[in-house]
Amino acid sequence: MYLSTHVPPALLRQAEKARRNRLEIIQALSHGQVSRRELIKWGLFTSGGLLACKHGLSPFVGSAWASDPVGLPPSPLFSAKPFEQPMERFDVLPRLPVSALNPLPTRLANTTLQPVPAALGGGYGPIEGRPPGEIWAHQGFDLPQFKPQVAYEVTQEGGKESNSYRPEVPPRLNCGIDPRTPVEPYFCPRMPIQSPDKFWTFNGTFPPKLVLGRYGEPILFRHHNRLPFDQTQNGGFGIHTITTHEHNGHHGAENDGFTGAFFFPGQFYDYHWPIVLAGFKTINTGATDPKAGSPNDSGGITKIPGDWRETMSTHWFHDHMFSFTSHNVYKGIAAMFNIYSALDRGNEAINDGVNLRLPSGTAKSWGNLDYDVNLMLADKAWDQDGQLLFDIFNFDGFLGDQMTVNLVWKPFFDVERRKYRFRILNGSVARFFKLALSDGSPMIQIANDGNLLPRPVVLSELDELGIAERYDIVIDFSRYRNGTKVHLVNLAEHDNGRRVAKDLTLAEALSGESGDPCVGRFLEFRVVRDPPQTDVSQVPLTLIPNPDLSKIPVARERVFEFGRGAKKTTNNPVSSFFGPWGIGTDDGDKLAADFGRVSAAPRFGTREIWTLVNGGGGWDHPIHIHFEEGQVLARDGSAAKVPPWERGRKDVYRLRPGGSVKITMQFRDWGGMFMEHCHNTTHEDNAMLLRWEIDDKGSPFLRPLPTPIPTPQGVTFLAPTEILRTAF
Amino acid sequence: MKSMHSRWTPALRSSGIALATALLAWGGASALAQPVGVVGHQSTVVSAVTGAVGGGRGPIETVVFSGQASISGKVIHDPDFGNPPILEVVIDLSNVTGTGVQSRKTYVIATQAVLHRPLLAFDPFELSFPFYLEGDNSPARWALASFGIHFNAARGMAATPVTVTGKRPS
Repeated sequence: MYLSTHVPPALLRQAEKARRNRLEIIQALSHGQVSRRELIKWGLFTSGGLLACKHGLSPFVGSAWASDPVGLPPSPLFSAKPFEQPMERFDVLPRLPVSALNPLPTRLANTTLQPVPAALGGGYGPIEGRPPGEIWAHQGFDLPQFKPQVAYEVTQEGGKESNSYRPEVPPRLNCGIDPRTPVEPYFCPRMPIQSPDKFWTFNGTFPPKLVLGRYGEPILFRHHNRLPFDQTQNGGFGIHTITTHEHNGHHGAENDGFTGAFFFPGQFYDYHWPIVLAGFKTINTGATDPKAGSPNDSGGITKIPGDWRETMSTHWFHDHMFSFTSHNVYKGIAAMFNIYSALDRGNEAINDGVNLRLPSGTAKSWGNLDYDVNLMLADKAWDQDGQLLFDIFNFDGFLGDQMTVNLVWKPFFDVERRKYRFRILNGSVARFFKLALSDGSPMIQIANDGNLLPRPVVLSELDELGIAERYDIVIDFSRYRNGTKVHLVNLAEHDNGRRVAKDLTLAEALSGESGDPCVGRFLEFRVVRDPPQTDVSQVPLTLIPNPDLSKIPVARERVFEFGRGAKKTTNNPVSSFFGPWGIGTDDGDKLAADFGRVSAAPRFGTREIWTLVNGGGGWDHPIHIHFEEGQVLARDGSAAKVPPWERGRKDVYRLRPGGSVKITMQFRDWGGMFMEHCHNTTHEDNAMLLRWEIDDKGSPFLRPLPTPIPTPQGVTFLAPTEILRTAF
Repeated sequence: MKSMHSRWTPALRSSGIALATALLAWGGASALAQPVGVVGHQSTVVSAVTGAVGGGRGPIETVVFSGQASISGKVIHDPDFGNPPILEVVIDLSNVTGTGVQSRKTYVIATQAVLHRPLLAFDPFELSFPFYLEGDNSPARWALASFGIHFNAARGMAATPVTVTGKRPS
């Protein structure tokens, strides 16, 4: 979809002109100056949600300049060369005492009033954007075991220079980067600094942020919205209202970043992440099992209730704003969250029979990052001025033409001759990856979606990595001599954002002949030295077995079909949205998204089986189900077709073109309204999202729950716009 | 896209047993799990695997491979956009083993791969895969499996024998 840099200049100019014309419409839409309905009326937008194919507007309409369709102009590189810039590690957010927060967090939303700027309608509104009242009160907040023990306080704001980079590793383990050196918001030192309206990151700075948490230590995550009051100060895409999803936290729904529980500039939202093992109400309630535990500061384990087989390790958190998730995540509202446990200690030396001793380090009792590296992969595009570019008129799924890792364009990373753990997140909008090392050598996959697998899987090529999926892998660099360079390579070739067009062989991907500029080498590992200490880390043959659900009766089976041609059956201007995508529930019609509609309502404390069906062959969907991890029972109707790396627990299920996935999951511990959606965020934003809720027995739930409708002046509630016949 | 066809064709022509060793086994589709009009031919073929990876200096020994690769194919149509069909290929090498020439020890191959490729009359594949002594997955060694898949609308899918070498993919 991107033009080669070798096409005639006239063709590039034509493509750039079409893109600028299109951007004006995108800007007007994102500023609220025109509605999608008006664009349809003017003939610029089809009822199916597609940009009308008009020459000079659509980049894919042929022109007099060429017989072939016009593509997007390639992002300029400003003389930058691949693998000349170091990859910065994530920036670790500081842990604060809860008492440092002002005002102190409260169980119910803090409705203290403050003046609301004229740009947001004036008057007064609450300082906290969390919906008020008991339904959105923090569940378990006053119980000693869930009371927040540590706080993180972050802002969302435009990109700026950072003077407080905290990689929490010495410079020799971070490509020699001196953390005292200011970090500028650019993809590469040769490229322009991003303007504050283009990049909206946590604390407004680079690199992406990392939270280090541990089981049994509840977190209060205070998120301030400091984006511009003026909706038009968005660089042409993105919206200044946000809601933060801790993907895939086992928390109450009030802390899940529900798409309709967004908050405005000038407000904050307190997210309470209790960091519990699922099943704590019914399994190991006496906290006697040492495998169910939290790493303490003296190297031991503090035992906690719950099922140790539900231990999670690698999360991320990101914006989930209704209809604008793709914009806002692309603009930088994405971070990662490592969770440490008795099993996954983040210390490779402690040998107590519980700790799995995965590659990490030894200096701290838990949470060592020396040899445990977060990688956020994302494709981006920028305009001729080097400023971030996005195209909401691509309803297949927006693809960038440049690869970034931790928001650095094609970087290098120095490694020692030993084992490393990499926590790899696909942070793209619509691009799938398929990863291999450039010499074809093996990697050991230890986790899928942040959950340690029952057994490690040795692979030379990882499976496709869908958007929001996480693969934790171990690479043993001891096989290389010092001075060796080996690359991480993307084998998945796209020609649109609907699905992978072709999984290339490694030789094909390295040939440089793919038409997809994001195929091939994108991260260079430089083997620079022997480790100063012997590598004592391990990859045990057994990691975390799956919880045994076979004795838990199946309360209900549901089928969800994901496809095109959805109906719009509701019209609430805040909660409903129309686009080319939709979800059919059970035997009903495919419906466009409405967070006011209840599509499923499992009963508290039960287990269900859900079958997720891809209704077409022209696209793939990575389907994310919030709240609790599921187990894949079958692919395409067959248990034997579940590959080894999907035999653990997951929260994103890649359906594959024309495929289906049958999963089972439980609904327990917490309640409220959650979501299920495609994590190709273009699809999600264009109506492939539904709401489900856990009903009954949790307290104090109503039946069904009222829908929050946020405004700067306060949140109101509406009855659900629709309750599907099969929901309850 | 660089075509690997020309490099493969002579090798295939010289391999008279290519199709003879491929066993065609048709698999059934689950009605519930597969959207109507989207999923076409599905089949699984079993293909013989032969080859060896040479040892280097020191303790690394030559490993000889044998066994059968299971190769499943599913044709996926795109009636919504009218794009050409693709082939979803699942390659399972778990029934292939390696034997160390000196040690006579058994090397394990647990590789499965799921690939999506445009549906072609013939498509050459290269898949690098790790192998390791049972119970000791680190450090693993790796090899390259090379084979081709034929597809014919009337006869379905067939695969050539799988050849294993130590050739680097790059």
